[in-house]
Amino acid sequence: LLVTDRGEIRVFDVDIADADQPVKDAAAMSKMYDQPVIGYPLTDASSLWVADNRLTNYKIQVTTAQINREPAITHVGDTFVAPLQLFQDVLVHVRRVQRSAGVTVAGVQIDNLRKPLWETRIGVPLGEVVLDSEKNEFLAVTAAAELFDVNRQALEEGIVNEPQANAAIGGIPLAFTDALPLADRRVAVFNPDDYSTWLHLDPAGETRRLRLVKSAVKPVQASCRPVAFQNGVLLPCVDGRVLLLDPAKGEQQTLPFQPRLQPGEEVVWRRPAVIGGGGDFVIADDQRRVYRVGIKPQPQPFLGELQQKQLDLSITSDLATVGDTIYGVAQDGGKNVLLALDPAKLEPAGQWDLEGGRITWGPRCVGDMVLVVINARRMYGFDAGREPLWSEAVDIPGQPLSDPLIRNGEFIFASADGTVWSVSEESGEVAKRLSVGEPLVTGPAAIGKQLMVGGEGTLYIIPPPADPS
Amino acid sequence: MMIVLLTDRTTRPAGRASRTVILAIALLVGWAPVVPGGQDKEPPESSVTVVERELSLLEQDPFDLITLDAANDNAQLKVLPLMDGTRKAPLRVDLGKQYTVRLVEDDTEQYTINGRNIVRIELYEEQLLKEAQRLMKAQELDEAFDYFFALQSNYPDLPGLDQAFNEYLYRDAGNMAKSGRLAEALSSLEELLSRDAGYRYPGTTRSLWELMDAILSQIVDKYVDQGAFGSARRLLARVDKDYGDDELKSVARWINQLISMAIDKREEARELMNEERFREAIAAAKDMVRIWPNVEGGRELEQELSQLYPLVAVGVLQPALSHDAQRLDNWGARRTGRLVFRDLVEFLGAGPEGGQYEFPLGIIERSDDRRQMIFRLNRMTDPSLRITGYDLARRLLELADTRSPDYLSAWSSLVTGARVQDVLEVHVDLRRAHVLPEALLRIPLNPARKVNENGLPEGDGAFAVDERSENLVRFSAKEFTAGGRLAEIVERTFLDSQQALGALRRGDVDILDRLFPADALRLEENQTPDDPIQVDSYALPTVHMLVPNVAKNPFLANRDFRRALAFGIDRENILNQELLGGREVYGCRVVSGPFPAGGGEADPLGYAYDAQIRPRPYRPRLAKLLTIVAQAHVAEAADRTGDPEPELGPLTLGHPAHEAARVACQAIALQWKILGLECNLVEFPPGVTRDVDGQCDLVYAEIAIWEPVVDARRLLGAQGPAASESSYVQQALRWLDATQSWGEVRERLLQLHGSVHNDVSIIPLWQLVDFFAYHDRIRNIGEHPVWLYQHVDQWRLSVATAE
Repeated sequence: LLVTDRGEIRVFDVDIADADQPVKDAAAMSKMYDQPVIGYPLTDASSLWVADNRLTNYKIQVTTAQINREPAITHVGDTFVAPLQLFQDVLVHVRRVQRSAGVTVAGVQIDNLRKPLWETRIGVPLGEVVLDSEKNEFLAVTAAAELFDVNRQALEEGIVNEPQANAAIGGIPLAFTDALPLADRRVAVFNPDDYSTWLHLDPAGETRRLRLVKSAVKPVQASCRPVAFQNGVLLPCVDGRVLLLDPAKGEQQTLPFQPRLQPGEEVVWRRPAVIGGGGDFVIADDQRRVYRVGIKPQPQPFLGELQQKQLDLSITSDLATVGDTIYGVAQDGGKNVLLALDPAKLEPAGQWDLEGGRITWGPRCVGDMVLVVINARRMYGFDAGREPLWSEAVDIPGQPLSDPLIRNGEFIFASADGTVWSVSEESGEVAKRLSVGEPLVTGPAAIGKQLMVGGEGTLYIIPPPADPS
Repeated sequence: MMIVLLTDRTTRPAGRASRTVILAIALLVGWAPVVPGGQDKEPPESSVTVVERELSLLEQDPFDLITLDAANDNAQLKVLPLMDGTRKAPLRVDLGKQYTVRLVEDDTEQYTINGRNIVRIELYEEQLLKEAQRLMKAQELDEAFDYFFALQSNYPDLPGLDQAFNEYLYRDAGNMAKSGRLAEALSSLEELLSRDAGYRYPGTTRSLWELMDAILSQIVDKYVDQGAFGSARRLLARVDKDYGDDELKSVARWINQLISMAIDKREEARELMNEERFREAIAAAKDMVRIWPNVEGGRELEQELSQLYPLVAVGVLQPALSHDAQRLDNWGARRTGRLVFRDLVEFLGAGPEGGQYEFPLGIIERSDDRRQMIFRLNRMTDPSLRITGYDLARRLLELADTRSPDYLSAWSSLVTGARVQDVLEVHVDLRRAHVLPEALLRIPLNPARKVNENGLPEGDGAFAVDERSENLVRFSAKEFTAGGRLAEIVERTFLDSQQALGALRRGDVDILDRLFPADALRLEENQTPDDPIQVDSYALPTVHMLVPNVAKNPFLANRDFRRALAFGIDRENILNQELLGGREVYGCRVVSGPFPAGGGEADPLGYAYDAQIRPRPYRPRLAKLLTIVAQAHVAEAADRTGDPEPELGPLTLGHPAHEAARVACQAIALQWKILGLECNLVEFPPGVTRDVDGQCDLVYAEIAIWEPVVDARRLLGAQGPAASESSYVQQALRWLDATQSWGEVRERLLQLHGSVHNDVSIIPLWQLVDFFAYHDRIRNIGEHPVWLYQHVDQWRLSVATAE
């Protein structure tokens, strides 16, 4: 049997007794794909299963030199990542479900490929971890919409197998990895490919702490990552609207903000920054326009424009605010600069050269300052007084996974390669580091004196990074 | 001496069909000169008569029959009527008298016959009566009637006639009753009764009254069986009035029975009403009224029902398969579109500066420089109308977005952007000034065209399509609560306009939309002051045209051929005679272009119509010549390209399934046949107005052009029902799009009219005023509405006037 990466199937009859033509064609099926696709074939008697970007069952009929495709083709669009295994009449396959995180292992009856006998997901990354600092326990939400209660017992046993809740609904891609902390320890966890659906975790909720929420406004195509605003989720959309949604219900909290639009115009919004004690926000588009927006009560509550300014430079990054300054990266003559804006006038209040580097993280508001990383290797810090924190940029071990943990005058970061490291707020020195030895996807968070970081399906409790010396 | 008499001068009664005259030869043989002298001429010596009767007695010229004695071989002479004016049957032969006669066969000669030689004289009327009686006894009653009719008319005093005719009437009634023609039987008995109330046929015991009563009862029974309660009531009422119920016992019995049936229906309706099964209750109440309109408590019940659940039944000849107020070419879709879907801007009627429009959600203002439209939304009270400036701005931008399925190119070329101010205001910036930008926005407020689980459309209009079957579409008011203005509109489809009119008369429907024009005019003419049926016309006419499918047929792609077709239609005749029944109607006229001509010069609706361009007259010879020229051109073109020469086969003309289109197309096909052009007619299924399969060479289209400045593109543009490929027409449309003042608009539209006329992009026929009729129980329907349901939110129902 021969199966090519274009889906062509050939079956040969090998007869070593035939000296002249020991190999003869027994059956064949022409190619299916124009592009190479990795496939895993498995045969049993006259049956052939091929798992590539679908699972297909064939019947080989040597007597008629034909290969017939059975009508049951399943999991179209998924990616099979491991060889098929047959245990008596149970076929086990391993695949990445389309647009979902992690790997799904399933066993199916060979004569009914559609209905799994069992199914489990492994290697599902964490979406978010919410700490109960008093109890030193935490809730973990996975990208597959499962809620794990990691209590003291689980911490002691080192394993928690059963999720406390599962908010997944059939057909919804399970890739909730973009967490947005909200007020009252609530969290909204979004799928970066589709911001119209999210998980809402309310640790204080008495029932159904984890819910899947769909936006009541349709269609929603996010233009940038949402931010928390006025107990809601501020979601800038490609169609120009900036929606303020109730994260628990998906309904609009107020009518949206909508600038003047041209027919067919798609707006590229930069992630807004909340200012004025949380009452207003500033948002920029890629047309050098920057708006200050607040809630106006009449005739019915809506996000109304308070101010608009046309800048000389086009903002290319998220906006971050600290104190009375809004920071954003802008393009100036082909190089990136960090621009400080005065929120009262929406006018530039300062500008710093970023060595022409590519922005890979930030600007993010961290404590009383704003951090930005270029080329995943150098970090800048600025304070509310529009001054650089450090005399020069700091070389860092890797791209931060998320916002840092601030402890004892240090910013503690984790990187995807498994490194946990800290930067001194005062000196900018990267003095301490620790290697977990496994890829990380989230963290760090504080568990007592220790730290918690998340891998793919695994949580690590680690000591704080130490001075190598 | 032998005389040969030719009887071929026998005259035929006027009005009868002619037929070959048969020679009848009468030979008078052996006649002795009965009178020795004194006669003008001697009678023939002898005669033999051979009569071959071909014409009935009644059909022959009157003659008397003289029978001679044995000496004259009992010969029978047919002579011209004797003693004209003073004769009286029976005529006794005066033996001493010399009778001067003229033979029927040759009235040029006069003969004298001695009374002694005459056995008998049968006058013509006696012969008629004799023949009538013979026919009657032979059960040839229809033929006998002709004789009796002639006798009654010409010889009413003929002895024996009354008795014979009475017998005839009796026999006729019996015969009719036996063959189930009860009404005719009753009529004969009534006639007999009026002649002789005491008549009794020999050997029978039943009186005339008894017989009449039996027949009457059978008739009413049959009517009731057929549900023809109106006929039953009218018959009983007449008989009661004419004869009373002393003798005719069944009159009172039937009246009581009908009342009882109506009471049953009344109680059924009341029960259903109490169960809030209003539709069934209304149906039962309608049955009640149909059976006995004046039943006690019926009016009150109807009143109560019409207040609790006002339901209007509309008879339509063009059913609505879809609901789209914007359809230029589909009357049914346009009629019902507004019920199911809300429009952003609504057309109210024609005005001095184009159409008059209403923005149902608020008001539209224009900036002084006319470069900005400001939509001010009302504060929303009705939840179904809750729409914000954001929704409106997005809709307006979507219409200008080339990626949108609702893209409007004219709007897109005008709009540069939109912004929302304080939720309820939308400012739309325009690239240039436009005379009437609102006119571009006669589009659905919401783009989504959803259907429910039953496949019925779900719109944002005040009504939902609740039920759809082959002959019925039911629209229910969404926000209806008992006691509201209107709960339901039920559209019932009729394929025949006479049936539809009958339904309106009977009260089965309250309104009849778009009657056949001649029917409407007749109905209007015959209206009496207390007639509950009212007729009204719509405010704007439809323009009727033939749209050629130039892509299908190479001959139709040839301008000369299209001109030939136009010259080959006698449009004046079809319009005036076939459609309008010979009447002149204001606003109905032959047109030369695609736009309405209005009622006259001063009619603002006609602003796009160039009155200088005269409609092509009917010139069949020129048309024939042009077809020959076109055929030569088409052949030449094929020759140049090396294609086989196309053959001019029969043309296929598609038309909507209603009477006006059917009649017009039949007439057009006949007129084209004179040119040697065969034309097959294809009737679309009811409600369909477009040739969806592209099988037709031409389509009969009825277009509603309400605002030519924008409808011109919707008609002749790429997606229009009369899309034109002519570069001149397309150029004229582009120029029209770019106009900024009414002066320019007028100029460009006239130019477009000219281009369409010259190119014969369409074959214009006529503009027709459309009519509807309604029962006066529907109030506030509005005078000359633009479309039937324009004022539906104002409609009120009262109880029908009882008979």
